[in-house]
Order: sequence, then structure tokens, then C-alpha cells
Amino acid sequence: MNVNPPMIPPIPTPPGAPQESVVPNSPIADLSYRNYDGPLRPPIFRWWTVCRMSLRLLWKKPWFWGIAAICLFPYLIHAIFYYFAGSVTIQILAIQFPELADLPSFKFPLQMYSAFTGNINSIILLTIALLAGAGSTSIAADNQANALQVYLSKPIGKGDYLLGKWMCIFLSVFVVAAIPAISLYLFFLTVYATQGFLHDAPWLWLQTLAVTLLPAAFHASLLVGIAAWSRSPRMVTAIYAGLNFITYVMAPVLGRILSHVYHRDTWQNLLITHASLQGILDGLAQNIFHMPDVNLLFIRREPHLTPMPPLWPLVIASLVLMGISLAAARAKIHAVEVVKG
Amino acid sequence: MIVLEHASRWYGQVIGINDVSCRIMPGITALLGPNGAGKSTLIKLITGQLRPSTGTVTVLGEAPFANPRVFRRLGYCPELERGCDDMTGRYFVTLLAHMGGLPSASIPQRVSEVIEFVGMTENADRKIGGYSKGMRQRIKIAQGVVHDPDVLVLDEPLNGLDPIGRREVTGLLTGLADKGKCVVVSSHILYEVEHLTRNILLMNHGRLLAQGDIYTIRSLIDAHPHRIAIRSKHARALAIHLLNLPYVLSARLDAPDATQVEVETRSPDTFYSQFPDMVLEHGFDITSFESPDNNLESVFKYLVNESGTKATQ
Amino acid sequence: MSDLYLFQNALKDLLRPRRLLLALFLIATPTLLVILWRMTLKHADAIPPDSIYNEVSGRIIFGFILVLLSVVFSTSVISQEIENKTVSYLLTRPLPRWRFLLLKFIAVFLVTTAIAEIAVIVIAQIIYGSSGLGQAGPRQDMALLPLGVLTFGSLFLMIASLLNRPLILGLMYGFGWESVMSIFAASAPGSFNHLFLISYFRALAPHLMPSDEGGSLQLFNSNLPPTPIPIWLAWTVLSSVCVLCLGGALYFFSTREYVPRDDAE
Repeated sequence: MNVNPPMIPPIPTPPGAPQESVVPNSPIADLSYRNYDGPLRPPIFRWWTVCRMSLRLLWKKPWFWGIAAICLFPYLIHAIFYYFAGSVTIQILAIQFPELADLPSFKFPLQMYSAFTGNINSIILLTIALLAGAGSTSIAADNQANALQVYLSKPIGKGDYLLGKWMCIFLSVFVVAAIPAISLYLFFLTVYATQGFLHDAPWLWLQTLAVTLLPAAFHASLLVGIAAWSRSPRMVTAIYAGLNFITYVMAPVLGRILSHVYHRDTWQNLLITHASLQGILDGLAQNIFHMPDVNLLFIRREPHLTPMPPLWPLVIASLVLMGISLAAARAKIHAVEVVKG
Repeated sequence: MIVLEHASRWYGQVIGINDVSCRIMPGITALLGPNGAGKSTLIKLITGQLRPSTGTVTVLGEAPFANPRVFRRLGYCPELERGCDDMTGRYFVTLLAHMGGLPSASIPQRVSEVIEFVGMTENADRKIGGYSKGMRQRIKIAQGVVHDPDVLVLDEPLNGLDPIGRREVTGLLTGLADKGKCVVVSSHILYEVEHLTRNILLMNHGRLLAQGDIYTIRSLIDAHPHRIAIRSKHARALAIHLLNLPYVLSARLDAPDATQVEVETRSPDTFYSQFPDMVLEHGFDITSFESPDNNLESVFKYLVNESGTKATQ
Repeated sequence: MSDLYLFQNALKDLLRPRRLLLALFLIATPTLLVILWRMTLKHADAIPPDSIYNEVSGRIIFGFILVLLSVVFSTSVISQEIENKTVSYLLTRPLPRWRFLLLKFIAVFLVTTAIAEIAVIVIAQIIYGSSGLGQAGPRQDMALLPLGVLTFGSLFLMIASLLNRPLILGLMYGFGWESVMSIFAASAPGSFNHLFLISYFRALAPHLMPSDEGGSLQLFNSNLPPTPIPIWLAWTVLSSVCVLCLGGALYFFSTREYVPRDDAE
């Protein structure tokens, strides 16, 4: 039933005559906008509305891109390093570590892997994830402002809302991770194409893409889970950063303590030293690049390469963590505010 | 007590208040204006949270920004807060009493007094997180007056209160003003403000539109004639006589047999003084007589709409 | 007396159950590690007690607990008030702003130091037994931790008084610049290591240098080893950082404008 009074159509003005305003004879203002019957976006895009709103708030801030630009530096350093000293270093490495020389192609994947797993890169990607997932656009901020009552009163479901928030973090981290990595790839392509780059590393582009998707999906899932259970963006930042750093510093110590039981190169010890949030990402990246861990710019004292950790435990661990986080987020999101007496 | 002289404050490219000059004296002054008018900015300037970009703001003769001497005599009830939910009302007021510089020995008794003053004695020992909106407002008023300030600034104290709560808070504020305090109240609820005070500061788009007694302001708005509604059995005849008066602009009857005539006049005082004689002379039977125009809302609408129209032009 | 009351309130706020849980977690973490280490003692090639203490102290207590607690607690002195919109109450009280900030910071200093010291005591007792606190390493750490809390705390307090997002910036500094870059600084030539606060702590307590860091740049600059930091310079720099940052924080908090904001962090 249309409860709005019918609008009297304006008197048509003869062509050439001056336009006059028509005063409606109803005291109620024009509410015809409520009867919108134009095209509607399909439901599949509901999450995109939430995502786009969060991205707009985040990406228009100059400091976001200022921090993201720091990610360029590891790749830039590796590009310069390889350009000026790459071939010499590679030869020395091949002599020092014969296992490397046995690999069909390790030069370019090694550079990409080393830049990706560099600490600066990891810290910046974590910071970007925190800005996207624990800032003013986060679920915690919506909890604080009781905005979920507004969101979930619109024709979007919990899944749309969560997917939108997840994609905001995912796209932010992915863009920041991928642009420098792709830039380094293009540098290698342009400079070394005639020197066997495409032959030596035909799948490097796919490896690069896969490895930049990793931190994006991982951070997005965990942050969505933690933020959904918090009403304070500050606490989400502190908790997630704390978890990252405590596991990151503890895992190598744990590995050293247990190294007499599980020798350094055993898969058990390798798993233990990767038993951190960042360690899981680094281990998966190592497997994607099929690369042992060699600290390229700063050679460790002991002439020893750290082999790849086993893949499947890392995959299972990451999937379990992501699954638990997403399930926890979905369980916690409610449209009502629970008031404790 | 509070003096602003050509005070302006901007946030980057956005103007908060624009060249505002006014004096606020003891008594209740209502700060009115639509959203974004600059009320909160003005309050923050008065309470020393912000500094003016240009001009001066003085409270009790001194600039209020980070000035403990001013704060000893200033009380402030902000609009929103979130972080005190774990404290009891009594603890909250006691904490702020300590921060207000009261002697420690006298604080417990003083806190009990102000809690009783705001009517929160029964609920003072419950956590603020469990309070209703009205209770929170009362506790905020309690913390604002615990150190017996000479100036009290309240940002939207009537928001979220039920009608009974509003009446009670209005009574509290009136009581404070009667003691000679300077009370500045920011509010949107015009008809309640009208019961509270006749002294207003009206703002829009960062500018001060009007200051002073609401009826004086109303009478000065020449461009907007007063409307007066008169009910009578002889409305039509009354209308004919009223139209003969030189200061009556129009008389409107909604129907030929209507019993109410609505008169427009630019000289309401003259009309009010001469109308009774006219009625007696012609023997009109008057049932009711009121001015729907002589209130705060009409002043507000007129001045705000007028300034809005000028702003868009 | 009002100062004491404010200080007590600040302490009460820091010692709320949720925060104590965090403290418990931070103490339990290195404790579990050293308990695990004790279980491996029967093996011939188990890590010696001094090595494990140095590792845990350098990486976890100084490298993590100290930095994390300093960042979270020091930045919350201002940021939490802005986020909770209670800053309006504080800034309209007849109390000089600097005094209020100082009282809250003293409470933060005491709580952070206590948590870190308890962690040192617990792990020293587990590693060394009853003579734990008599060992050089734990004694040095217990003496150095208050300076560490004061240094990092005042630095992050100043960041909080100046900038809008102090927690993230503090974390980036503490776990980015200090932790990550100091790995390179340990092997970087010349005086590069002078740029990192952790280097000065390591100068005062050499056992804080984790054992597998400082891999030399053997290929490139074996003729340019890192310049060691003299003890007098370490004390001077750390004290100066404390004084300048704390003074700066008090000054900026007294003169800048702070209004309630939703995106304080």
C-alpha cells in the first residue's frame, strides 16, 4: 500500500517560456525517492559495499601509503645488490653451499624469497594488516560504536559483513605486498630476459603471486576473528601484534632448546623453529619458492643452509588457525547489544 | 563571567566558529543551534579544551586553556563518555572531587551532598555501566558541581532523558542559577529550554545569530510578522474589524463559518494593548487568544532558515 | 593527597583483572620455555644455564616483554583517555596537566617494572635454583630493567603526546627499528649500531646479545667491525633519552589540544 500522498504533476511549461517553480500543495515533502525502482545491485555484491566503504576510509589517508612505501625498500635493495654484485655472490654461494648449486634455478627465486621474508617486509605487512583490521574501520570499532545494529538491519547478512571486512584487510595487505614484488619481477624480466631469466625461472611470476596472497589471507582471517571478539581497536592491535612478536621470538629459542633432541635439520626441529605466526608464513613461502633458507645479505657464521620445513604441517596449521578465527568471528557477530547489569 | 571577543576557531579548512563576540553573565544561558552550528566548539573554547585561532576567550577574567585557576571555578559536563563504566557513581564523583582540588577530609561528605542533590543516593554505589541514561546525566552533573564552581557548562544535559528526568534536571539547573552561578546549557530540545531560561545564544554555521532575551529577539524580527490566533463565535465579523486596523497585515479564516481567525501584525505590542478595547466596544465573544509564533521554536526556525538561505545564496 | 588518590586510581586501572591476565601471560611465556629447558638438562649437549638465561633475557625479556609493555601501557596513558572520551574530564580539572601525566606515568613505570622484574626472578630461580638472584646476569638485568622501562616508556609517552596513532607507531619502532634493525646493526660496520637504543643496553649488559646474531659480513667488510659503545656513552645516551622524552611529553601534553576522538588508535 502506498502511504505517500500522490504528487500533483507540474504544469508543463511551453517551450521558450521562463521556468516557474511549482509549489506542491501537500505539506509533506517529496518522498518519492523512497519508491526507487531503478536497477539494484545483485546480492552477490553486498560484501563489496562493506569492503569498499572500509577501503575508501583507509586508502585515502596519505600515511597509509607512506608506510606501505617502506615495503619497496627490501626489493629495491635486492635489485641493486643483484645488479651490482649478484653474479659474484651467487658464485660464492654456490661454492660455499653446494646444495644451492644443485637446485635447477635458485638465483632469482632466491632474491624474491629473501626480499619477501625480510624482516622489514614482514613488519610492514603486519602494520598494514593492523591498520586495516584493528583501526577505525575494524569490527572492533563497529562493536564499540554498536554499528552492527545498523549494518545488520540492512539487507546484508553476517556473511556479507564478514566477507567485506575480510576483503578490506586482504586487499590492503595484498596490494602492499604485491606491488613491490611484481616490480622486482619486472626488473628481472627487463634486465635479464636475454640472459636466461625466463628459462631459469619460468614460474617465478606464479610463485610471487602465490606468496603475496599468503600474508593477506592469513592476517585477514586472524584479525577478523580477534576483532570480532573485542570492543577496543587498541586491544586488538596489542593482542595481534603481541601474538605475532611473542611467537616470533619464542620459536627460535624453543628450537635451540630442543635442538639436542631434534637435530637442526630434522623436520621436527624445522617445524618448531617455524612455530610462530610469521614462521608459518615464512615456511610456506620457502616451500613455494622451493628454497632453503640462506640469509643472503648477512651470511651466518656457521656454513649451513636451513632446509625447507615440511609443507603439510604448515598448511594444516595455517588452515586450522584461519578456520578457527573465521568461525569465531561468525559466532560472535550479532545485531543486538547485550547489556550487562 | 564568560567573554568572547571576535573569537574564531577553525580545523584546517573547516570553520568551527566564526568571529563570535558575546558576554555570558550569571544565570542560565541556553546555547542553541542546529547540528554543526559550532556549539560544541564554543563549549570546548569556554572550557579550555581548545584555543581560539583568532580573538580571545576569557572565563572569570582569564584565558581558560590549561588554566588550573579557571578550572577551580569551572564545572563541565561533557556530552559523551565511555570509559567510566567500571566505576561506581560515588567513586567517580569522589575521584573527580579529588582532581577538583577539594580538601581530602571534606570530600566524602561533599560527595554525599552532591549525590543527594542530584537524586542519586540510592544508586550511587552501583557501577555506572548499569546506569540508565538519566542516571548517567545526573552523575555527570554531580561531578560538575562537586567543587561548587561559579561557572557550569553542560553539553546536551537533557539528551536521552525522559520527561520526568528532564524536569528534574531543569529544576537542578534552575536551583544552581538561583544561587548566582553562571550556567551554560547546550540543547536541541527547544520547548524544554524555553521553560529553563529566556536567555539564549543562537548559532548557525559557526556564526552567532542572536543573543539575549528570546522575546526581545522575537520582537526585533521585523521582517517576520507575529501571528495571533483568536477563537470567537463571531470570527468573521471580528476579522472584518481587525482588517480595518492599520497595524494588522492580514486576517485569515480557514472556512466561511470558521470560529478561529489568524491575524498577522508587525506591531504585536500595539495590537495587544488595543485589542481588549476593541472587543469590549463591539461585544465580541472571545473564546481563546494565543500567539503560536511567540516562542523559541519560531525564533529558531526563522533565524536559522534565514541564515541558511543567505549562506546558500 | 589528591596526587596520591590519582596515583592510586591509575594503579587500580592498570591492575584490573584483564591487565593482570596479560601480565601473567607475559611472565608465563619465558617461564614455560625455561621449564622445557630444564627437562632437557639430562642430555649431554643441553644448552648451559648461562646461555639459556642470556637467550631468554635478551630476546624475550628485553626484546619483547619490556618493549611490548612499554608501548601498550605508556601509549594508553593518553590514547585510552581520548578513545574513552574521558579526556574532557581530565583536562578541565584544576590540576596542572603535566602533573596528571606524570602521576599516571609513574604508575605505568612501577607496574611495567614489576612485571618484568618478576619475570627475571622467576626464570632465574628456575634456571639457577636458589642462587638465581646471585648470578651476574639476573642481577644486572634487575638493575637495568627500571632504566629500560623508563627509557622506552618515556619515548613512547612522548610519541603518544605528539601523534595520533602512537600504538602502531610504537610497535613499528619497538619491533621494527629496534628489534629487526638491531640485528643488522650488530654486524654493521662502524657506528651504525649507535642508532638503536637496544645497543646501549647491550653495552651495559653484554650478555643481552643473542648468540646467533651478529653474523659477520665476512664477504664484504671484515676490515670494518662494529664500533663498541663505551659504558659512559651508554649511560649518557639512555639518561638523556629519558630526560628529553619525558620532559618533552610533559611539555607537549601541557600545551597541545586533546579532544575526544573515536579513532584515537
